[in-house]
Amino acid sequence: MIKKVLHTVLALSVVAIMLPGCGVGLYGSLYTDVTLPNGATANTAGSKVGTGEAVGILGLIATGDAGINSAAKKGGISKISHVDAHIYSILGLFTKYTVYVYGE
Amino acid sequence: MGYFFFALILLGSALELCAQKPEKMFIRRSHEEGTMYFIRPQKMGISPKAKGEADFTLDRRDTVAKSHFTITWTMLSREPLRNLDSAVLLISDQRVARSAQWERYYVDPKGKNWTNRYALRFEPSEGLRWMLAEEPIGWVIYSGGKAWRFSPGSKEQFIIRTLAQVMAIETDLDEQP
Repeated sequence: MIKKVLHTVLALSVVAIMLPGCGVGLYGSLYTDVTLPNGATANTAGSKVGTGEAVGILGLIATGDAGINSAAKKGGISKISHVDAHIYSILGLFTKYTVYVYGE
Repeated sequence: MGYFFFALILLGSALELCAQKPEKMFIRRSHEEGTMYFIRPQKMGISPKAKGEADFTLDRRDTVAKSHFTITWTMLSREPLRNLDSAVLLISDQRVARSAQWERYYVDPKGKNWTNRYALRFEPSEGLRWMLAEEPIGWVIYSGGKAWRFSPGSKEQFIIRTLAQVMAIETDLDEQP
């Protein structure tokens, strides 16, 4: 029984490693540590920053809130100037997605 | 079985690597008027005991008047914190600066508790000197006759100090009176 569960976990981990590489060119299957632009508006660069974070483990569990809305709320931002995203991942086993919202 | 433990060790290493590097906790953004430095949210110890975190922004603009240092903090409390009376920065229990202004971002219910999020603004040179301190740092907020003291742990203070050293090198704020 335990062996079956472990095999399932391993198989899902392999899927977790392979899948992200299919969709995004800057996602490394082995290691990813990149910051990417996520959008910009016509508003001038503000002096406030808000962040949101979501974490995925083993391709099995994912939790957090990396939405632009909640990040803007955390930063006290009503006028968004631009949004960046940072992706950190090792083998797809551990993935962290952080969104940074800038504005005033 | 061995693969599973290997995966766990790898995962543990990834989390450790991610958690300890100060430069991973830091963002620097240039804009038309200067540079903004942002230290990502750090867990804070709060007395009386409460859950909380804080992030730090140093916005260096072309004039000191436009520049600011902001501590944005979140605290979970039994009662909502509707207003602040004042806030002060501490180095080794000594008051070193009083908040120039504060702003309430939100006070939201969360289960039986309340999530309070506020921003405190300080003079940028005072904020930088505070972050650079070798002694234990913290801040106290006063509201309705009560006080809460926020203190970073030694790991968090190390991150704050290390990143403040980068800010001090790149700006001249720590040399101003």
